[in-house]
Amino acid sequence: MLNEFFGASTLEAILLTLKLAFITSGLLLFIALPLAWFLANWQSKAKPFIMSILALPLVLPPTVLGFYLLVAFSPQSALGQGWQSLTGSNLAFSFEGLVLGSVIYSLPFALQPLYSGFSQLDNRYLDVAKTLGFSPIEAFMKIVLPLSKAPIVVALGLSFAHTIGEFGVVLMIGGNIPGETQVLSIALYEQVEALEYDSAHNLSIALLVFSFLMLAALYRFNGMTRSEEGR
Amino acid sequence: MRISANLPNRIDAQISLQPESRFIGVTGPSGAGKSSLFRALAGVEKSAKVETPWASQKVGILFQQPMLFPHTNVRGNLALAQRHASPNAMPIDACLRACYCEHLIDKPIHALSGGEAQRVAIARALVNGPDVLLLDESLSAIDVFTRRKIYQFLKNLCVSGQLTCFVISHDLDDLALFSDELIYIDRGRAELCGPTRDVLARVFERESFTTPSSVLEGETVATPHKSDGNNQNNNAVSNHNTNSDRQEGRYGSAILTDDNSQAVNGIVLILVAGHEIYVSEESVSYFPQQGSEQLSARFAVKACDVSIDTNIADFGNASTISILNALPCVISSINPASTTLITAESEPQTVQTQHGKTHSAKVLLKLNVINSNQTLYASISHLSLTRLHLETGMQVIARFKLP
Repeated sequence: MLNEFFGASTLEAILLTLKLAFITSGLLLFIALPLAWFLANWQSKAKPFIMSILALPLVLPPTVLGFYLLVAFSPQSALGQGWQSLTGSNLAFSFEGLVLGSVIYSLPFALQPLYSGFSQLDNRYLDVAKTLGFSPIEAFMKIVLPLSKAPIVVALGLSFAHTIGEFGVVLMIGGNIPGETQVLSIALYEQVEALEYDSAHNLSIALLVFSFLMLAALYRFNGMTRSEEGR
Repeated sequence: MRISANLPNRIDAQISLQPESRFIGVTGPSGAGKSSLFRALAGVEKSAKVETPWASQKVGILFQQPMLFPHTNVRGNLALAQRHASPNAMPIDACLRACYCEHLIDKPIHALSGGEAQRVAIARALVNGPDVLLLDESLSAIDVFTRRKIYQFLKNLCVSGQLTCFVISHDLDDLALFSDELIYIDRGRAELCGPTRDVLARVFERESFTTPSSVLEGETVATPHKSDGNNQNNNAVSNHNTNSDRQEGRYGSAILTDDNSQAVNGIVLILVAGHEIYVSEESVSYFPQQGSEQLSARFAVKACDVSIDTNIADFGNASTISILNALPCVISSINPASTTLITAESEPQTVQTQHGKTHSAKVLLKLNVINSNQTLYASISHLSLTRLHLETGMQVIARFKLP
């Protein structure tokens, strides 16, 4: 049924996008959790500069970020060369390059909710945990993470949704290779270019509904967590 | 026991306590640094320099906010506390029973009232088996009857040598009842430190209390109405101490239980300087006497509850008034009550003099209980002072209602 609704190539793009979004948001959680915890507990004059660098993808035009990533991924750069010697393949215009680009592009969407959640966490929970004999890592795993359920879900949701909708960066570093780098937004762009408006409509409405449901679920979850805490 | 704590710009406290002191009260004005001192002592202030005799021991801290982990229920909180419990920590059941929260075990944290949450927090701390427990106004939301039962339980643990408690409270009666020694913190320094009664007297002078409380001690009197089987409600101390039902040793052979009192109808009879004094059950704390089977009892009497009777010939003959208690005393000093401090319970009444100056309508008498080294305060009006021709050195009867 989905095959008939979207068409085989579009369905392939949908599956690739979902794969990219799952991998990116999973990786981001691993990166952003310790990073946000470190930043929330770090006091330094350099902090605003580091925070600005990490938040840059929020304001930078995606094509600018995509351009710099493309340069960094090229076989002439250290990163590109290193990747090529390790894997034997190019980082630019590959799915792996897309994952790396998406992680960088969506980092602030995972980092900000976690940083904000950790900053608001009452440190006395950790004081109590310390006096109860918990090591810092154990306190983080057993106390901080369960208490930060809402920011974690929001970080996951936002980075997932943001990856689903990314266009500029993907176009710059991934191109438009079906089954390898052609994600939803690129497929949609191609359909419009080819005047396939019916397919474009189907894909657009599916994306619209998905985005709405995703955000509604996030808001509902956040509301439930707050009312539980407030009771 | 010497303790020093330094936290730049917040506290610089040098504290010296008797080695046998196990229940130490801490008081002082708001913002004086009491909580900072506790945070430093608990080791949760990175910049604090602290020297304590319990460097290698387990120190627990309880805040006024219970800080129960809200992502799990009461059982989950206790289980987390048990993960790193000391080998000699009390079992969960005993802690729950001692803190009156057995019925709360499966409740989510957000469903607990303020007092319930504080009780669960104390149980959680005990489950972890600390050697030293710092309670920072941690019982403030608990009703007075339950609060004092919990204090008595903690006191029993202290007496049996299982725990050392430091307790911050603004309720001086609570501290007076249970503390071995008292520390008064002001502007980050330990301004006063020593035996409870001495420090309390100086605190009352220092803060110009209009209605200070005096702390009296006596021996419990076994009442024939009370059956011997009353100790069926074995306490957690006895349950925990599997070797013996008795808390013996340097404190003598007196037995401390959850229900130490010899109360009948909620009233306890206590011998003070040879006189029988009636006290409400919830207003008494118990501790063992050295080398005696009898328990000592301590209670506080507010100055405003004490009346002066000059008819000393009628000491034992007050059957026409409702005031139950009488102690023969000698007036040791008469001081005008301060007009500067308004206590939580009562505002000082003021009168306008001919010269337009305002001063308190009351005077504070300091009374020495005859045949005892104990002191009682009485707050009476200027009118009574002049009408009864009271002066220092005069023998009077201090009559006071059931504390």
